[in-house]
Amino acid sequence: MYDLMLQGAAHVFQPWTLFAIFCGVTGGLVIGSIPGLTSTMAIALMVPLTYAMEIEFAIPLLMGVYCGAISGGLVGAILLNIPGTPASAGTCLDGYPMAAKGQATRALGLAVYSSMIGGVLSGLALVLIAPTLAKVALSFGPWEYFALVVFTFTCISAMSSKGRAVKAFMAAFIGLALALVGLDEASGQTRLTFGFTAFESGFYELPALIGLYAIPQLLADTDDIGRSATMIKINYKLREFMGTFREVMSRKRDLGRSTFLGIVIGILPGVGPGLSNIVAYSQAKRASSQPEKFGTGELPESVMSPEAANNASMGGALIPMLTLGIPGDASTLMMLGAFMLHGIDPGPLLFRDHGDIVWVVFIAFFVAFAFCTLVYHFFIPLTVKAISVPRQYVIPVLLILCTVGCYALNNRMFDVYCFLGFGLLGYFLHIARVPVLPVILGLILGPMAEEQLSLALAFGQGSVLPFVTRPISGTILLISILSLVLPPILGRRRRRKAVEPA
Amino acid sequence: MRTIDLIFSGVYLTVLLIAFTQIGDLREISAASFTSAKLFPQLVLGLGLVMGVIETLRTLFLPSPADEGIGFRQTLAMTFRPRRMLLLALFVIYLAAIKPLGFLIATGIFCFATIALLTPRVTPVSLVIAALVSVCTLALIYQLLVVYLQAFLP
Repeated sequence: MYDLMLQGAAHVFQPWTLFAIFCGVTGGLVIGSIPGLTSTMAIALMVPLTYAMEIEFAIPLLMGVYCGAISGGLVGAILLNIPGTPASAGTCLDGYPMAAKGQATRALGLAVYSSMIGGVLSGLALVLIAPTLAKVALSFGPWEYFALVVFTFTCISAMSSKGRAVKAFMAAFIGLALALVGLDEASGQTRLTFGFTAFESGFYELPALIGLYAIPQLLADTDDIGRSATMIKINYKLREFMGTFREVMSRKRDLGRSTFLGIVIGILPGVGPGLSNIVAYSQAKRASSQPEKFGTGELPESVMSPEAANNASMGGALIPMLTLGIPGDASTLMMLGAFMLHGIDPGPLLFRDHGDIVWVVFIAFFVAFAFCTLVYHFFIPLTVKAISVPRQYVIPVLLILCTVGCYALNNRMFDVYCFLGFGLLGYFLHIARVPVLPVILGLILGPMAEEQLSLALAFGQGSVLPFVTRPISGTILLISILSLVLPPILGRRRRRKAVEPA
Repeated sequence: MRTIDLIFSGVYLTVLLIAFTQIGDLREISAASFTSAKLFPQLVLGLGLVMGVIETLRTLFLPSPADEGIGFRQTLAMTFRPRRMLLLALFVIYLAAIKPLGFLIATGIFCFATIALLTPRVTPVSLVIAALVSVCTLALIYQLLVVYLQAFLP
């Protein structure tokens, strides 16, 4: 293990790799701080451009973008009351009121330091949990993997807002159906190509991912052109900013709880920083001795909790992605795409066959957070400027970069047309309020589900019983069913209790 | 949202139904095999159709969630907002123009035209900025992709 760690460290601590992480962090911070441009978009832009790079160089760069973009959301949340990314939605609630009281530097300091601590602690969880889980996952058979895919989809629908669970399932089936398109390797027959030879190779994941995320988002972003949000002016002083570190460290219990919540939510497939920051905020309010002061921008824990949680989710989300090949959230889904682009399939075998790459991920994660902290100390004014860049300059540049990125994958225009086609599909789903993440998960996990189901049936001589009789797959399927059945039952009971007179 | 939900369910069910009928034409791998070429696709499309039917019934017979009180006309107006459609149209034209015009020329024109047309008030300064952004974007792409990464441009 130490050999692999040293190999990983040797890859990361190269001057150009460190520079790449630094650039990734800075670029991620800038993109993440612009409201409407998410971390997923930042990684989506970068992944195709890493095609020509060595994986030891590309992964650290993407880790930098990932960490920077998630952290970047806090600037918009605090100074504009608009979260740069959904991961910072909870930060608006108290960060903006605190900044409005003339304490913008304090709010930013609390958010930055708690983000970094949450991120680093989740990195430690990643290093400790991932190898152990990978060892356990080595004993998984096709039944367990299929059960995990089922669990992933049930998890997404269970986490959907009220009345949207069926839509989330429909979205997953759209993704699974799209994954069927092309040549079926087992039978040698083409499926759902409708006579188009271009479809025979199926849809390449990355143009689909980028199209589904980027085009609807950029189209919706045009609504913000010409709108000027009132940004709180900040008189940035480094000493005042650094002074908040002590305040953060004096709230260890809040930090610990939010980080723990962030990691656990991050591990759950399909949900990540977007949910964890809201949950951490509500838990901090519940645990507080002054819950009435939440929303007023007086309490430091109300800013710290969502930020610690959203960054903690990053390490958590990487755990299932690296060990099982199942992404924890949309951004890790893009990271999964990056691994696949470089010919590496994440899963337990990654730890056995490419241990050095795993350590590159671990070490780059910590280095990215270190750079992120450093960049925040000295470039807060830059990120403040990034927020106010007029959207009409950003949108065409991002569309061009997406187009170039999609073309560069295979040097064929078909991928660019797929990017547009998936973008239009994403826009239709956006209008119909159907979540996009299940579509992408279906597209990526579909081939895995089909392969594992075929293997399971072949090994079980056509019997489906092992799915429930094998302890791990049976347990996973049971949890899947419970995650579907329990939330509506509990919700109904809670509503009935609320209606009953005291 | 009710009408939009019904339109979505209708499109979804139609597409999945067409796919389901297409999958029925597949040949089996072999009679002795435990696995079937049709099993997974039919499972996916069949369950997908069931979900579509459930959602359609839910939309028809259950009240919409409170946060979805947006009317059909509002949704349509939002979908076809002029700026969104303008950007989409420009992007489609850009993709179509890449082959005849060449990537660099098409990209330069697209970038400049999009910035100029999306800017709320066109002034000489905004046009100069649009030109500068276009040139810088082209330079960045060329430098990064062609010189550094040695990738091919469309």
